[in-house]
Amino acid sequence: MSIFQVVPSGDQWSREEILAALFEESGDALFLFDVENAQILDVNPMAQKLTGFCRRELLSMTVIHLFRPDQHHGLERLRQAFRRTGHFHSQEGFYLRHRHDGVWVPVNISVTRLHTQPRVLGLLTVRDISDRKQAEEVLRESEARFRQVWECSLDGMRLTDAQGTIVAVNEAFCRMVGLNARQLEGQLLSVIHAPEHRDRVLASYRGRFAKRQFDGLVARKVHLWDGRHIWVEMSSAFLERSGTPLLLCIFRDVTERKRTEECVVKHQNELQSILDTVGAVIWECDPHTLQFHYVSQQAERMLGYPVEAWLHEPDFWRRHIHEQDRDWVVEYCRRATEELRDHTLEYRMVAADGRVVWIRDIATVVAQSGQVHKLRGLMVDISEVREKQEQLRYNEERFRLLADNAFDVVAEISEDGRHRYVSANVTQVLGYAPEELVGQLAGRWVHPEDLPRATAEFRKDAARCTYRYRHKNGQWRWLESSMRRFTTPSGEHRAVVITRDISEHVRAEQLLSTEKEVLEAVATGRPLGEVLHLLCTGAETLCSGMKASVLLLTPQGTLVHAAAPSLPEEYRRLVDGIVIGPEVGSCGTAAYWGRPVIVADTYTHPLWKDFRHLAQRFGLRACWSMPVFAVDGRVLGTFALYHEQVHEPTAEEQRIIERFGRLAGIVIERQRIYDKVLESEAKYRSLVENLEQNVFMKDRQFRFVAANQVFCKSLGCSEAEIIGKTDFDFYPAELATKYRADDERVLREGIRLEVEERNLDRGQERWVRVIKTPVRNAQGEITGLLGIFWDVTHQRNLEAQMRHMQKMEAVGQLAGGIAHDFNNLLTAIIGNLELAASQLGQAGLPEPGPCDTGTLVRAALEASQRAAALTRQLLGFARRTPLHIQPVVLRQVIEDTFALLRRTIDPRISLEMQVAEDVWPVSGDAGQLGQVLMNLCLNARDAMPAGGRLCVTAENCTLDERAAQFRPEASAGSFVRLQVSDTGSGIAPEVLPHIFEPFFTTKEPGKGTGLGLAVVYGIVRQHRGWIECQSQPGQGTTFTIYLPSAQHTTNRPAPATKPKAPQRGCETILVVDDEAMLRNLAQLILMQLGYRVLVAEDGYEALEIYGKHRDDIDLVILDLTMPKLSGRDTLQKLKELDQDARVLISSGYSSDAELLQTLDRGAVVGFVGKPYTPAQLAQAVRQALDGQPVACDAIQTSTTPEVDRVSGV
Amino acid sequence: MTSGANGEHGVPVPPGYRLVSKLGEGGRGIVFQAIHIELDQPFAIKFFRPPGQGASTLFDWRTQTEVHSCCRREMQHMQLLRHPGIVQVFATGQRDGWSWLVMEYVPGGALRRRLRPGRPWPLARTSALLAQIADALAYCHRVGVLHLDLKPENILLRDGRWAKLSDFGLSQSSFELLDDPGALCAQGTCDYCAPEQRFGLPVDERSDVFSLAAIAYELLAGCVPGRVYVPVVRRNPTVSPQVDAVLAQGLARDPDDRFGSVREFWHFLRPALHAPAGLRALMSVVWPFPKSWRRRR
Repeated sequence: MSIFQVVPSGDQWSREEILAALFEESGDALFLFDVENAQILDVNPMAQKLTGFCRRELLSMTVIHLFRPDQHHGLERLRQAFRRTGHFHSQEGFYLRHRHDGVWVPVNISVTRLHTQPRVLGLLTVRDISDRKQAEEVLRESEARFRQVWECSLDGMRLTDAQGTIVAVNEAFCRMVGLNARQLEGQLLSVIHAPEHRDRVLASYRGRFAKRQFDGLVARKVHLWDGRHIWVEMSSAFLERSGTPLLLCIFRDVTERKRTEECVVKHQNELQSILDTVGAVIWECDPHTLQFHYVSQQAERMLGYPVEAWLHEPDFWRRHIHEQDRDWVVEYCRRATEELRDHTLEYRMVAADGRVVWIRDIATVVAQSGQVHKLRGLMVDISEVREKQEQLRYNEERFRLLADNAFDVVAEISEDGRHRYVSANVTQVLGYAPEELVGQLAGRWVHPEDLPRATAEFRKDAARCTYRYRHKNGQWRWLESSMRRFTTPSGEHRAVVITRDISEHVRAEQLLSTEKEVLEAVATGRPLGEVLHLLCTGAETLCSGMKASVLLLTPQGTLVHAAAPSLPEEYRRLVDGIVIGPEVGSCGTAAYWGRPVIVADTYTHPLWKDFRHLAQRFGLRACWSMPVFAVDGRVLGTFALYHEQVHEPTAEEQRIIERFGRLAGIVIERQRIYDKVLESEAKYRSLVENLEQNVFMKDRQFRFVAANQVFCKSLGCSEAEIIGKTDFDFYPAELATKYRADDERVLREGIRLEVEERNLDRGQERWVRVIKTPVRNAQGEITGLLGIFWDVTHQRNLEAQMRHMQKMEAVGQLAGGIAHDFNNLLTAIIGNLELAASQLGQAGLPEPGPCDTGTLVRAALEASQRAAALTRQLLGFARRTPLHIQPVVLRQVIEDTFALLRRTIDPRISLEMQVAEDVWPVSGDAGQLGQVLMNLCLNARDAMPAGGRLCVTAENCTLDERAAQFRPEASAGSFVRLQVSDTGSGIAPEVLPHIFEPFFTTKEPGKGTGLGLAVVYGIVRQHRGWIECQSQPGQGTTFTIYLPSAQHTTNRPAPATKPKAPQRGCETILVVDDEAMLRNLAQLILMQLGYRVLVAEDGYEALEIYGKHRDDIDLVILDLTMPKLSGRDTLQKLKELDQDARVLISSGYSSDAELLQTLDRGAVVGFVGKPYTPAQLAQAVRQALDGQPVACDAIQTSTTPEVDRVSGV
Repeated sequence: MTSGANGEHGVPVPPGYRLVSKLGEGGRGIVFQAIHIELDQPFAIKFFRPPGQGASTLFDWRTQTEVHSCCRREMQHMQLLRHPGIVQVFATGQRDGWSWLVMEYVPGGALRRRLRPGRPWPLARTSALLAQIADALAYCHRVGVLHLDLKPENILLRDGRWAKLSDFGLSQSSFELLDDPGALCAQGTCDYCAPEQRFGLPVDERSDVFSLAAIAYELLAGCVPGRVYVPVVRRNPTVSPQVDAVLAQGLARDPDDRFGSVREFWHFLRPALHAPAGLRALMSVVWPFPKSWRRRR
């Protein structure tokens, strides 16, 4: 593509712009010229710069004039050639003219012919190559210099390539190796070497070349091809020739120099080695200053100072002479030198490490013409010789001192067995003086039993022997000797014997071994008697001729023999049981006072006066007794030694008896503790094993170390299987992790942990209460933990039920309270409405219509009665409805209920009844129970909108105490179990706990009151029964009711109470009620019935009125719950006031009816429950007045307590 | 800002002045507007970086030493010059290696800001502006200073009308040139720079003539001239052909083909600017009329 194509084809300006830019910006000088006459037509700025001429000047010149005149003809030729060929390419060797005369710029030119019209133009491109030319010039000069050096150098030079091929060598090199350049160039460099070295040299060269690693100036030996060897020093440098790396090596022949050097060194070394091997220091010094000129190397070895120190430190010699010798040595030396006398002297010098070195110094005075010129000499180290002499003297002295002062006796025995030398200390050991023994036979006083053995031993070259030897005082001493034979310088064979008295040692060993034996017996748990027997035997062995016994102190203060192996049986029998006292033989006294009693002669000693006959009879002359103490200082018994001779204990024996006393103490006490521990262990084990709780112990690594049977059983393993394992081996990881965390906490914090947690009992999950507490050792460190846990699943269940029950009670209380107040209000409403209705009836209004007053009042009355019914239900739940308790046959109740249900219930629901023939009657209120059954059945119906099966069953059951535990309400006894089950939708688990709560309903609003089940619950509870509910969503529900049976009573149908016409009267009645509304109602009712009525607001007023009108008042209607004076107190006071007062109790609380039973029944003649209707009140009043037994509508008085039972809240 | 403490960019604060704001920054230095505390007058202070403190950008081809010599040269030359068309230097100073020139503050900014590509200036305004520049440049040449970096960036306009030459950083003294012809290196802004200056050939007044002609061309044509002269008339028909003749000579590649001095250049350019435009120019003048004319009707 042409460069002009980058601009629009028509834009001449842009094309010209490009052209102009190329021309102007070119780095070469451009000359546009006429080919015909070489006239320059245009130039670019670079041309001006290169030539130094401005453009105008250049335009007046020809191309030819630009160049050096001597090249004109060449240019002319060029121009001619150009005419023909049209181009002339890059050619060097031209010089361009510069403005300044004499300056010629070397250039490279090229000429191009431009195909222009009308005349053909040429373009001369000139490039400045002056820089390059200059560089070439420099190079050429350097080349020439190098060549001169190469040729004229005395050193051999060699140029080689990477392979080791010689590229060039100079003359000197050829001379050096004895080959000419032709033979060398092109050959491998190894050609100059002896054949056996060639491969090595070449390999080494190539290796080094590759690494560019050649040492600097190094002299090395070269074995030449012709057998000569020369030493050369070589230096090298890397060069590069047209990309090929080359190595220039310069060699200098240093063979001669090397030879000379070797010679000198050899001689020097020889001389030096001679000087150095001489064990003496060879020295030379100035006679006046005594400064050394020369010392041999030995000087350094001898004293440790470097040779330089000898030579350069002024006054070195004098300063290092031992200070005790310094003065005389220097003085002596000086004098001898002055007298030109050679001298030898011995003195001490101090070495660098502080050693004192003995020196023998042999000095020669070198004199010249009668003047001392220098001193020369030898110093020899004579320390060793000196030392040996000293040592010998010292050894002699030391040996004598040692032998005489040692504890051991040193003796020398000649071959004939006689003492030759005995050290002086033999007197202390054996009582003999040395001179008594020297010359005597060595075995003379050796124990006859030991003599043969000792003699045999001593025949050996070296021996060690233990034997007995008689002391000068006649005692046998245990001796230990070691013997070694030797030969005297005179050739005599002798033995040196070193003897030691080891009697004490032997005895101590015996004592120890006895003690050890006894303690071992204790440790292995041997019986006490056996151990003490062992102890006595040991003591007898140690004290020959003595008889040992151990007596134990009983709690009664008597002594009995525990062990006495050597004492006669009869003696033991006689002594057993003696009571300790202040003067009872040796043992009795020792045990009494708690201190040792030593009796040397029992025949004469006052302590033995009571037992002398025994001693005489059994020949026990001496008795030493030692009390045996426990650690706390109590006397446990005595340890005694008897002797048949009068005998005072030696210090040794004293020690033995003390030790054995202590030992016996340890043995006895330990035995007692052991017994106690066993007992305690058994006690606690039986305690733990008999616990009902699970008990275990763990160590710090959480491994079980103990477990009781209950725990083992719960894990289903034996104790052995449990011990050493951890929770993780028995419980799932989740539980075990939790337990581990608790354990860690207990161990870490040392606290007692009490928690309830889940646990497994033979795979069954349960709740347990766990107590974990750290176990500490005597030092208070925690060594593990103790855990106790027991099953609380049942307890937890009971608690939950209890909570539920309490809630129900609380709700009942609340509902009851509200219902009571409603009741009062309703009583007033109903009463008033009835009065109104009856008045209306009396008035006999002619036309009864839908809106007349009578209808309205009746409607209001109806509603009020329904409200009253609802309130009664609530009270039923709150168990405040009075019950007509009587034996009830459930079958009949069920049948009645079913008869009602069959008419109303969906026919798709089948009704079934399963009642056993022999079902006991229950004591209860038949009406209320019917209500219960009805409510349950209706609930079942509602649960089965699509039909199903409703089944009611009744059966007998007897609960024992254990079965009764499972429900808090339950009690033991005979019950009838009544079950109502359906196949309906069931009850959701989350709903189940709430079903008995009042106003809790899952039915749609308006469909249920939420009181049905609450009433059931209340009634059942009031009957002292309880109700349970099992339900599975979708599976149906079963209500189970337990009712106490009334099996002792026969079925007695309740007498039907028929409403009667109001009974009128004319007596005077006092109505006491704090509520004005009720008071007024009662007043109104009674007045209508013809009675005369008095009213009182409270108890005081009632008493006051009664006091005034006691003769008139026939009956008092008394509310029991009143402020100020309660009904009960009022009743009491009334009775005091008038023995014959007649009182009718009125109350809304059925519990008040129960209260009545506790009151004096004398005054009370009846009870009327609120709310009452006028008819009820009238009847109750009439009955009370007529003096009939109390038989109102609400309470059934009876002599049979079962029937007359009203349950309380 | 107290004197002595170093202000922003590390520049020292000349005693007696308070730096207000930065006006511009280049390879050679930073220009601040400053207030003389006692006079309460604004000044422009040009700070030259200390030698060796690398502030030159990658695109700046000058070496540090050159920068320093530029600074020295500018200080010397500007102190010489006193002309209403040249930014006046009042004081110089040095501290911590920094040098500075306290100069006249010219509000209004550089000519560059008033040039829009393809939008020529009206002839009358061009003429007035060029007259001022030519006068100032002629004064410089008379005093013996070549500006050598004349371009719209370096022509400041007070109130949009009064031109002031600034930035004598590349300026050369005529005497210097004689002494050392090689001292001038290839510097300057390509578009306004004479070819001989760019190629390191000897420069003289004619190089400034080239630059002035280039500015005149740009003012009239709305673009900078190329190497090949394209007549202004092609871009701005209101210009008479005489103008092209003058500018072509002013922009000649060879200094020998150019006017010998600024004065001569201006002598020919001024009448050419006022000469009547050619036929095409008339056409372009008439063309806009019909619309407005019709409207007037």
